Amino acid sequence: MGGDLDSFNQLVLRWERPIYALAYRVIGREEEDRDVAQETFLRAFRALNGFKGQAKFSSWLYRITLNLCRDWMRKERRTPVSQAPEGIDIIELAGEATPHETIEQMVGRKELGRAVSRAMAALPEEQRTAIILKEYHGLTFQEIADMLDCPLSTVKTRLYQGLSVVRKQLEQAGVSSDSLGK
Amino acid sequence: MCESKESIVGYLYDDLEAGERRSFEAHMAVCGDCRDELMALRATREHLALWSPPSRDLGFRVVREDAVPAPARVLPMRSRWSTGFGLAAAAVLVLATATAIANLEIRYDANGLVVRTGWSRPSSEVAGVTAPTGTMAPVAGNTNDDMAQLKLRLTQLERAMARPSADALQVASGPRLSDTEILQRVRAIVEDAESRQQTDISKKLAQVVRDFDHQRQADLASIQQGLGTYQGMTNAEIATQRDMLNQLYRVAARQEK
Repeated sequence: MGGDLDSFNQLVLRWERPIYALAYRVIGREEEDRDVAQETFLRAFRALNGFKGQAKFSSWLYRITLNLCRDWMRKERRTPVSQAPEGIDIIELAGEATPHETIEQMVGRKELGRAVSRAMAALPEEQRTAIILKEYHGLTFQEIADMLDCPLSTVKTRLYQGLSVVRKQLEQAGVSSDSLGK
Repeated sequence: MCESKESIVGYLYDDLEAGERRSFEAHMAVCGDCRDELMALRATREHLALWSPPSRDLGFRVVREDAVPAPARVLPMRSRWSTGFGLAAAAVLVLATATAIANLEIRYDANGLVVRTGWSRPSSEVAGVTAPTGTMAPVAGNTNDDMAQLKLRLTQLERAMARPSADALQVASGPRLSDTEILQRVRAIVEDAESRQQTDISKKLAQVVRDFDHQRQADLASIQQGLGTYQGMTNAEIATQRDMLNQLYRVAARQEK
């Protein structure tokens, strides 16, 4: 790429949302996740000459993001929290509505999302990261293992344990499979 | 739970080999606990899908800090020309633009440096391009300052072009342009700017005329409506008065009887 700023910014445009989503889900704080995402791209640009293409560009970016998230959490000595706002803005919600969805369904979906956020925040970092990378970014088990520098079996174990904890947390919060409208 | 965690997760994410999947499905068919476990984890995955980040306008963009000298490994995008040529091109552009706007004619002939302004001059005769064609009357008085400034700019330009480009950031990878080519490009830019300016002015004038027409018509319609109203009121008053008179006449006629 040779440090071409315009070309790099095309990559930024392509990856800003996934990187932001990863930071948001790992950290769970709305301003810090944005800072981490921005810092990811700055670091990536500065280290671009060192990227030899031995891994996927997305995996490389994800690794930078996860390292920054980890550094932030260690520095702040904080665990991620669910920072969803107390009220629900109906107008903002209407903008996110899917077709044929009623207001009640929209609000219900938002509430479920908050419950999931709280459940995920209760997980240990390794389990939460494994679930996020698998569920929301579609990485294979091997890619996750390479990124987290752990064996394949460890990734699967973390996923199982994390999903089980989330399931129990949701049950305690009164969320069941019925809430999915089945 | 009978099956290993890895097998359950592998089946959940469709990551088992064909043989392993068949074996797992065979076990599911006879083991209620494992079946329930699998269904619960599937439901959990569906719940996870409901958690999404807020939809924000991100607009991330990596930009260079102009105040900080760029590191050697980062190539500046704008430094396609060396500093000397860049300065020369910028100075020529400024001169040519000022000339085009003022429609200056600058000639250097036997009578010395002559500067003339006038909108009737064709814009193609830009400073330094045309050869002297004969004697021209020098412009008096208020262009002396302009002449002095132009002389100063020309001197600066000459010095800049004579200075070696030792502090250049990066050298262009493309071919260098000659002075003639630079001037031709600058002339083309200035002509383009001028024609766009004239087009803009024409459009604005046309818009002003249209606005004036609309307003005039609106005013006329308003006056018309007002007059109509007054006329209506007058007619009504006349009719009322006529009725009153008729009434009085009838009353008077009855009294006479």
